[in-house]
Amino acid sequence: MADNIKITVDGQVVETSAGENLLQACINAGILVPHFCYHEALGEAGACRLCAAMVSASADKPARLEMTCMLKAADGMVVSLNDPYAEGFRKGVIEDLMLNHPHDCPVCDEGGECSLQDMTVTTQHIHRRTRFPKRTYENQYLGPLVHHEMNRCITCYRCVRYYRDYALGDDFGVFGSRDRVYFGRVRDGVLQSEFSGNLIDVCPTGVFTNKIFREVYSRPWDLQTRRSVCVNCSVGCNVLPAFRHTTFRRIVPERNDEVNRFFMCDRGRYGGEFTNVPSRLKTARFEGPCLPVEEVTARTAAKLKQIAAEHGGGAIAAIGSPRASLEANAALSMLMKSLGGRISMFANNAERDAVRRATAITVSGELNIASLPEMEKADFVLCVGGDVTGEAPMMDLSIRQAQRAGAPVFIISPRAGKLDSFSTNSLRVKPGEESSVLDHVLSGSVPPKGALSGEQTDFAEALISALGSAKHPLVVCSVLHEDIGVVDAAYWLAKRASRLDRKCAIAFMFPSANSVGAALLRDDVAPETLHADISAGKIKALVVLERNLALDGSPFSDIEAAFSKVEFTCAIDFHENATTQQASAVVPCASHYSSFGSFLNYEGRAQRFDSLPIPGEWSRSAGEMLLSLVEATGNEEAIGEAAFSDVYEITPESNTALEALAVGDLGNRVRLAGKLPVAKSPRRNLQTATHNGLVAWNIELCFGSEELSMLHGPTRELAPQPFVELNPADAESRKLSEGEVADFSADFGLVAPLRLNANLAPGVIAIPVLKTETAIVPEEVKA
Amino acid sequence: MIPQTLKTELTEYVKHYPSERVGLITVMHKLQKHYGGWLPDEAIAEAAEIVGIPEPEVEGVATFYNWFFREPVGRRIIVVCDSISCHLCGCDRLVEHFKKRLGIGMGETTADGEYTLLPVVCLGNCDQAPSIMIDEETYNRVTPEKLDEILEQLSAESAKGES
Amino acid sequence: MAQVKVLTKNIDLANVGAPCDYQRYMDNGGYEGAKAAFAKQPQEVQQIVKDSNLRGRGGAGFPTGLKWSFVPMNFTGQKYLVCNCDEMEPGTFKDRALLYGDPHQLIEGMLIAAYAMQMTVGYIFIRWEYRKGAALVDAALEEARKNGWLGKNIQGSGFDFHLETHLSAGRYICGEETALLNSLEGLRANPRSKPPFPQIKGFLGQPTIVNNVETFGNLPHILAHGAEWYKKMGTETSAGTKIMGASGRVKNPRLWELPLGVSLRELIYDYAGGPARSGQDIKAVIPGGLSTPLLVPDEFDTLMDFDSVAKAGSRLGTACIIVFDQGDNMVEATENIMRFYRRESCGFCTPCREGIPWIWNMVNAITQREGKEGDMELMAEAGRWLSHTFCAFAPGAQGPFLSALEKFRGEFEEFIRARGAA
Repeated sequence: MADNIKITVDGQVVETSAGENLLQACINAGILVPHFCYHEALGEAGACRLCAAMVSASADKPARLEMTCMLKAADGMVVSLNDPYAEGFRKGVIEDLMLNHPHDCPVCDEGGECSLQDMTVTTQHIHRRTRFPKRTYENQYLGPLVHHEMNRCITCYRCVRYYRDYALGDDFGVFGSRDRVYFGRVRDGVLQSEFSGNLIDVCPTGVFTNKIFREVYSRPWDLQTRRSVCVNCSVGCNVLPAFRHTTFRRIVPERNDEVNRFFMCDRGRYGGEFTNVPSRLKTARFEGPCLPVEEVTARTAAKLKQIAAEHGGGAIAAIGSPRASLEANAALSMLMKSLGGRISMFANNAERDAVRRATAITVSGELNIASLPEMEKADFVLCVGGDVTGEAPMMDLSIRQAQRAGAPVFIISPRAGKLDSFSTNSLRVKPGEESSVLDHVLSGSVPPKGALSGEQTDFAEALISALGSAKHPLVVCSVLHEDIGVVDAAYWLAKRASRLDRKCAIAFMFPSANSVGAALLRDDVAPETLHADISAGKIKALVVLERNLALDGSPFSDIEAAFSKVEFTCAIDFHENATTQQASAVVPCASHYSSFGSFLNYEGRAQRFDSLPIPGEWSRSAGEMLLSLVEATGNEEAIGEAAFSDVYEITPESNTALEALAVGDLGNRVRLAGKLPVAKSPRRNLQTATHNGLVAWNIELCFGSEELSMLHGPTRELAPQPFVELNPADAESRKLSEGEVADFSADFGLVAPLRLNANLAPGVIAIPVLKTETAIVPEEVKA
Repeated sequence: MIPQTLKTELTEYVKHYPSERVGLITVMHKLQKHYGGWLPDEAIAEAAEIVGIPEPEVEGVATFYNWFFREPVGRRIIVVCDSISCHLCGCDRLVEHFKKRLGIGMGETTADGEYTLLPVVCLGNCDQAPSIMIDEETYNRVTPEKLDEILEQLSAESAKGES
Repeated sequence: MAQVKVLTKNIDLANVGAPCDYQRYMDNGGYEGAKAAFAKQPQEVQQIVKDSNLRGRGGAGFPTGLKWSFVPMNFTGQKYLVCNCDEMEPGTFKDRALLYGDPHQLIEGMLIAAYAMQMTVGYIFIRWEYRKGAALVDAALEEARKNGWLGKNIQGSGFDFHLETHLSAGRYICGEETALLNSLEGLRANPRSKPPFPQIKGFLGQPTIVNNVETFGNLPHILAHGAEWYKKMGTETSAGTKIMGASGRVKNPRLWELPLGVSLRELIYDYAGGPARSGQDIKAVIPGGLSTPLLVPDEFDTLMDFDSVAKAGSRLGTACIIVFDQGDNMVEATENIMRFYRRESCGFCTPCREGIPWIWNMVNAITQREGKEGDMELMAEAGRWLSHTFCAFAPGAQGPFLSALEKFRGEFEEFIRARGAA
């Protein structure tokens, strides 16, 4: 810990640590220091010259005009922002910047949240004193997410420092010089970074703005916001969704110093457009006709009670959802309990095994689970079995920070992702083989000759050596590929790499925003057992919560066939989809950003999210809808103080903490030491089936593989068309060439254009996960 | 596409530096020569590949320095020093004379693609001002009359070169 | 004071012809300084340079020995030596003469510096317009290599030094040493923030020394003849000789090698021969390359050494004076000066990127007889803030600009009053 020192800022004594950036020290003390180019995440540049103040080393030393961002705080320093000379200079800087800045403030889409506008008023530059023409630039097309308006640029260099230096994007730069400096791409085109939307936030004025938001623009002060948590992956970035007249308008990241701090990914920022999906359910249905929600709830309750009475509770089942809140899943669990039915939380058995194991490791408290800021400080990173950019984008951005600081990055997976371009060592293996290579690392010695290929041995040796000298190692492992063997291998590696003097951190990338929460709730029946029971006609009633069975990889993908075996099915969701279409009863609920509740992110961090009250019987949270269903079954006693008892039963230690948890808190990491046993020895991974020498690998895409962001909006546009990938050697032996439509219908059920990828392991066919469903427009919308 | 020999030469050349990027500006000079005095988009991509950096980095350099051109230029580049000593000694007269004689102003290229006229920072011949440079050759104490002689001599050379 | 021949003993400043080749260089005491250096420990060489009071000849006049002393000598990684031959300061033409006239002197100087700081790799950074000179240096480098003055185990000393030329692509800001290092690395030539100074983190993040051509040119003579001999030339705080020059409205514009401390008046009237145009007295001088404030006739007794010129409110800079006479219009001259800075600003920080073009716009409007009442105050205000920029470029523009505004206010006001007359 750095020494605490005292500095004086305009007479106010400020405590800070020695060596802290002087500007940041002032900001931390709540003192407004005008600035543009400095950014807490990007550091200082010294370009804008706005943070000037008179500074002296001590009260008896002469003061000089200095840029506070370029100085380090030292004990006894005296800073004067109010000094007339410093004020005059800052006003001069603003006047310089405003010489060429357009006066389009009344119609500017940055208006109201423009730092330049604020600073212009703050420095009291109120009269225009130049009479010369302004410079103009041509704007670029940067893709569907970010709008470019270069005339507004004040050349603070934040955008290029963010995009190139921080996020390591390689398709953006600074061009030109003198008073014609240009920030953009070499030529028009879609920004390739998954983190491009942050340009909007880092730009202190309106050069980069949200292209979707500006289409149906609102003044920011007319927006209503409630703090929420992103639903598009398991990281759980804090966000501020904004509504105007009950319609969703945009998402901006909200600072949580233990999670996403300043930034978020484009899938999260733009993925929220599902809130405005045309297939939004706004009416309830019961066996055909649209009816008031209360009516449907009452009839559904009666039907469920009747089936329970006729066939017993064993004939009733429910499927929960890892993208629904803890509260909604708990209410569903309560409903089943009151009827004597069973609940299933997962899509398939492999996912169930992998998620439960990873959850057990996560909440056991045995290993340190790295938060994003902790990931940035790692000095060694190993990514196992997946593509971080597609599965947990913000982890990718954090790993890039570790890499920038010098951490070696090792990646072992069947296919190279974007992070591989920054890796020290990448190894391509067949799906599941990750664990056999890591086993050799586990043994801490170089594997015997012949056990591994030369390439694998080199990787293992380099990994052992790099891991050996690391003080803060980190292992990141995918759970999306549903391979418990890989989960175990990552766990054992992190466990063995932890010594007395250092702990190896671990982080799992889970399939959904609330996978960890779902794994901690009651889960009575494995998906495949449930499916068998349904096929055998044993299930008479099925309730499905916020889950489209057509897209989740479950054995129920032929919904029509499965539901036809069940007497009564009820789906609760916010939009019409293949599942709701086949259900006997449909109960609409609020979409995520109109709901309140809690998620447990990949760290097991419980975070509350809030929503604005949206009028309409269709806009209540799924949890509330389910509670009224419980009520309608006549089991009111189950509700009340112990309404969420199923959550609390499973998380007793966190009971108090969870109850006290408020929206906007940093969140509590749920820890259940000793409650969930972790397997004592590594379990072998499941063998994936090989067809004609090829084994399938799912490509998890940032845009395309996540269900909600594929419902509506620009994130849908960014998803690729279907394709398959082969290693060039495999293509050659099959006499297939780049671009040709390859027929793999017999083995893998698809026909798609072929892409050759040398960075794909041989013997693997890579297939992108594209969660597309033909848009379904509900009946009442059509009318 | 540049010839493989040039590509190999440049790829080898940049390797002699402690970091390949140190060779970027030299690579760009050589590519500019190859592409007839300017850097088309293709040259930016070639330089990026040779040095192993993203294209925007090369574009940033190409648009920063005075001697890299992203638009076609004439076969010969005439630069006129317009810094203070040459200003005092009449460089403006030379610019006017060029306008009269070649029909181009600063930043322009003659219709026949022979000359591009540009201003330049002090050429370090202040004691012999005004000074101009045509390609590698420097001419000092230039007067409109002397300029006519120079241009005639150059066009004679060009004619000889073509025949 | 009389002309001296130290750095120019192999160069005819009145007519810089073919470069001094290796044979002639050796016949005239070549590489004696390097031999003297190799006979000493590196630290001793550093001490001699420190004792000589040599100050940097690139314009800032920072003591060379002191600059070197910040290089961590116990650093075991690669250290670099760089020669700044990006001479682009308007009115300055001294480095050209040294580069084209006597490349071996530069090589020997760099060899001595490299040995003193144990730097085994060096680059000579040369502006694109001097590429013919770079070819001459390349030839001299080849001669030096052939004769064992460069390469491995130089003259059996066990010291290696690899030296090569590097051509720039033309930007005045490359003369700023940190911008030069960025340029050498193949980056945009924006200056870097200091600290860290290049001596600690310079080229490719390694300890680096950047010195001017003329600074290096002094080293062979200091080593060959000793610090005491060197200090006898020049003044107490500005030791040695200086290549000085004159251009503009003088009868005899050229370069001379003179001891520091010669008077400006002597330089203008005796060496440069006074006004070039009859009946037009000299009314102003920019003493050291464009980026130094103007001096007027009652300041001509100022001595041309670092401290005296500073005391007179200007800077010695490159000691190449630019002379204006009564027939010159200072408003138009200011327009030319600000046009130069506008064009060469790297565009990194606000007052330089935006303020200088604004000032130029106003000056230009005034020359077009479109000046307005209040322009003088507005220009002075905008000009005032040029001192607080990221690097020394804008303060360099500020010097001649504010001094012209102050010392020739009447000329500006006359133009403004003549609004609409043109």
